[in-house]
Amino acid sequence: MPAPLRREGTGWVFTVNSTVLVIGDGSPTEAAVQALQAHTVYWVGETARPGALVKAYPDSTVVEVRGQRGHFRVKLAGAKGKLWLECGNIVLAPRLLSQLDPSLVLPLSCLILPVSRAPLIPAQERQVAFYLGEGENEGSFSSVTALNAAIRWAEHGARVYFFFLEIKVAALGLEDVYGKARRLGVRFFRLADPSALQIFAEGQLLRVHYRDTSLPGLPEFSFAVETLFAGEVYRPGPDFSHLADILRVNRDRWGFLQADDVRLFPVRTNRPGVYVLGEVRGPGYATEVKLEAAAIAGETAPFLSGEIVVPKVLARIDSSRCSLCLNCYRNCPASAVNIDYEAETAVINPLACQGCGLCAADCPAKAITLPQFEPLSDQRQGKTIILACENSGHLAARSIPLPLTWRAKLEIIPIPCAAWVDEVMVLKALSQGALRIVVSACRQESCRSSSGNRRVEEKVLAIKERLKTIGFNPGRIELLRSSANAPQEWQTRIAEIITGDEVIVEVGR
Amino acid sequence: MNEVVVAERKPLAEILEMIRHYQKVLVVGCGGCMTVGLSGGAREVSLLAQEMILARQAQGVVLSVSESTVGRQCEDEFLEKLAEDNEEVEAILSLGCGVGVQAIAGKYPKLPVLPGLNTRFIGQPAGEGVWRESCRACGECILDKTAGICPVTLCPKGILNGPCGGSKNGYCEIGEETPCIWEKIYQRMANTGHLSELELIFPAQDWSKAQGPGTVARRKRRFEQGK
Amino acid sequence: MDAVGFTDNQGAVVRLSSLASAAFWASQGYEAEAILYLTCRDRNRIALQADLLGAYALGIRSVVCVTGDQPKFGNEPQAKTVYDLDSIQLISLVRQLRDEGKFLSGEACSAPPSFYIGGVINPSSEPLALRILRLEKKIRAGADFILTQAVFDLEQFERFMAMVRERDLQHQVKILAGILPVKSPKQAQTLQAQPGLSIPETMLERLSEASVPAKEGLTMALEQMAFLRQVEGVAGINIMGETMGEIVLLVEQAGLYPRPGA
Repeated sequence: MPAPLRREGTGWVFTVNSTVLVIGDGSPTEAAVQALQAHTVYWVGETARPGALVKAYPDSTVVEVRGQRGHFRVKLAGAKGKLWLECGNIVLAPRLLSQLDPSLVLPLSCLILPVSRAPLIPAQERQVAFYLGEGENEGSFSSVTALNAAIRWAEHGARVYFFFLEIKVAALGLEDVYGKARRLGVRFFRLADPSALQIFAEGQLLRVHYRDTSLPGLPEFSFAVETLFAGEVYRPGPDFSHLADILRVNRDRWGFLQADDVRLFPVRTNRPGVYVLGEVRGPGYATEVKLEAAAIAGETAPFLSGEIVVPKVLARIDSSRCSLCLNCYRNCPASAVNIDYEAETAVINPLACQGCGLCAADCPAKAITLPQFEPLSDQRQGKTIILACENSGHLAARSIPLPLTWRAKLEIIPIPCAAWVDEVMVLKALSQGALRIVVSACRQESCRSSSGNRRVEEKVLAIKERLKTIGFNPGRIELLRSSANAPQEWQTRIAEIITGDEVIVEVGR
Repeated sequence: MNEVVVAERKPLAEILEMIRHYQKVLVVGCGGCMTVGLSGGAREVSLLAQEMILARQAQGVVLSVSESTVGRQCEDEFLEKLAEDNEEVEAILSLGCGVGVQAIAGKYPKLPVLPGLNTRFIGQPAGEGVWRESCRACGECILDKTAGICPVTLCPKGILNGPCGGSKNGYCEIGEETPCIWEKIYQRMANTGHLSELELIFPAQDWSKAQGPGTVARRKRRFEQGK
Repeated sequence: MDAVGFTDNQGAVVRLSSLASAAFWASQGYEAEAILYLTCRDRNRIALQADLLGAYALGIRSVVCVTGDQPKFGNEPQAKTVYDLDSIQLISLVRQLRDEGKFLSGEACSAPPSFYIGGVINPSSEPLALRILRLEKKIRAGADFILTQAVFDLEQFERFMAMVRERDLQHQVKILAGILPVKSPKQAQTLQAQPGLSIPETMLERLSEASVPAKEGLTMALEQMAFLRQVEGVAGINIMGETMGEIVLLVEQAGLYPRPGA
């Protein structure tokens, strides 16, 4: 945990390490190394090569990462034993590995080949099948190859059966390709669901059973084919999934190393100082690698001076109250907390802290404060308090004028993130006379603190349950999700909530 | 840090019943196990205080609650500060384990001291928000003979020559949420080459220390001036 | 029948005490002798030793030592359990009384009871190696005879007995295989939930498809008995039935009454 070098205005200056660690192989990594040429670079990857300022570690893998942006400590293990490296930023830029689409249920058979092999197999006059699964939703890589291969086989007189859940033909020219395949007699079967198709190994052939649930009578068809080309998906290899675990980097629903959060694009992850580049973000991103690498270099350039200014400390732990329960350390979405075992306290690293307040809300010893956000003060009689996230609701609230009648009824209070809301804060406001609390959070995949607003739903439900036990109307806490650029919608939603005011008071506490 | 004594908050209704005669109550938290175990730290104290105030409000009655959290409730010196600013308190509600409640009651015998928690066991965290009992404090530790797994605690029958006849496919007869701990001991001893030790018959155990009340006395070191 | 066993609040359900029932039986002078079951669940070493002395004084000569099912299964789930000893420690204790004339504490017993000592094993829970380990421990602790839990899976029992014979255990202790007639799918389900029992699919199928399940159940029990009698190493059968009538029926139909010659 670094100590600040000096104060500067309201902020602090920290010394930082300007080295960048790049992990991966292939063109994404090459682009990164190229873009970061002003930095000393440590390159960990099978094809790593040394350069002017590049140190290569081709025989090693990363086994542990500690610290935060500006002061990462990375443990490598390799043929020459173990080694600790220090760097200020980390770039993840591997190639993806192809594997058969896991949504396909296939028997073990040497007659089944991945679609990417189809162009290499000479077309003959026989029965072949193509089978694309849910993996096509990630990106139609197999579709293009499969359609072109199907055409080639059909031209050589083969009988081609093409089974698919979805084919996306939105890419340029793909409609024509599909049309050509149809005209050549390729038989397309769109599956209502994967269970409509069953494939068995049968001696030297494959038997394909297809049940059509859309035709009357639910007819069943059975084909024998000599080769089946199965769709593929491209995913980070298992060592990379493991790396994402070590690094505590959030993934999207398919396992790519960038969560579905527009605030992270193009190259960020939930962890400040950890970047992703190229196809590891998702197969669709393989083409913009040079631009992305430049974006990363833009973010790491300030580190070249060896000093970074943190304008204000966003969250702080009172060591005398800290009980080392490890909650903040385990739950911080940005992994910005370190444990100082000697001083027996958790410490927040300002270089990585996003100031969401999740740690403060959960801390059982109430040891964490966010200096920019004071606890709610008194005098709430009869008002609806809106705890509005400064990334969405609070901006929406300020962008167009509020109805005059609302002034007396509402109090809109900015919060750093919905994560900062905790039960005590809400109950206290109610006991001091507030009519209702509304938590105005960002939408699911737009949380600036990545997991902050995901947990707010559980919290609000828990508070509702508690209110019921106490004998209060659970409607006195509500959750509303919105975005900064939809102020009209925000006002409409608030209006819906506060029209219930009179009802709340009468129907009982 | 501390071993974790694990406790659970009593239901609000039960607590309200306990304080039904009082208008001014002090809630005391504990900075040790209860904080780490998320059951009785400063945050839980504030939460309970608010719940009680609101519940009374719902009945149209005012309840005055003050809050305090001490480093450890089981330490006499730490309890001194409870007397400050709390002269008119009618009752103390402790969010400490059973030890804490009794310590406070011993220090302030004129006041009713009430337990806000049910102390459950000595255990360790087993995932977010989950704690499992690991030690029964039986006073005759045999972990050297059972590959570091405690059958006294983890076997519902506490037998020392297990497994019993009810063990089914690796699970306890109680249900599939409970693994048969003797089977785990068997596996670990087999994996580490100590299986032959399991063939020894464990004789009848001395349970006298497991029965309370226990006392441990050790000669305390005193730092003498000038030496 | 050579003997009648009296279980001790089996399944943690409160019943007439096994000691009273066994003592009553023994006092009636029947040819079949009384076997007392003692569990460790409800009594500590003081009560257990006292009961052993009392049982002997009332004419009981055989005792089966079991650990005992947990209260959760019975009608008093809030009861506090004892488990001061486990079954192996209890077997050891009874043997020490008989062979050394000493109580557990080491003090001499002026009139030491001389019991024929039994234990129970469950031969149907994998891994079988662990079950064999327990069997060996019970033998070394002093068991003279062993009753098995009800056997339903005959193939698995054969595998178990093969392991027993490999170690020559059948010559160190008398093994009696357990039979429990299952007369309806519902009974099968209830039994399945009990500790120590597992009923194979084939049995459940036969029961649910039979027109008269009770008859099918008895037929299956007879098949099991016939099989078990010819398994090498099995010295006898322990029939566990719901009613005395059904036990008598089984014994007769299996050709065991009148008692066949040794």
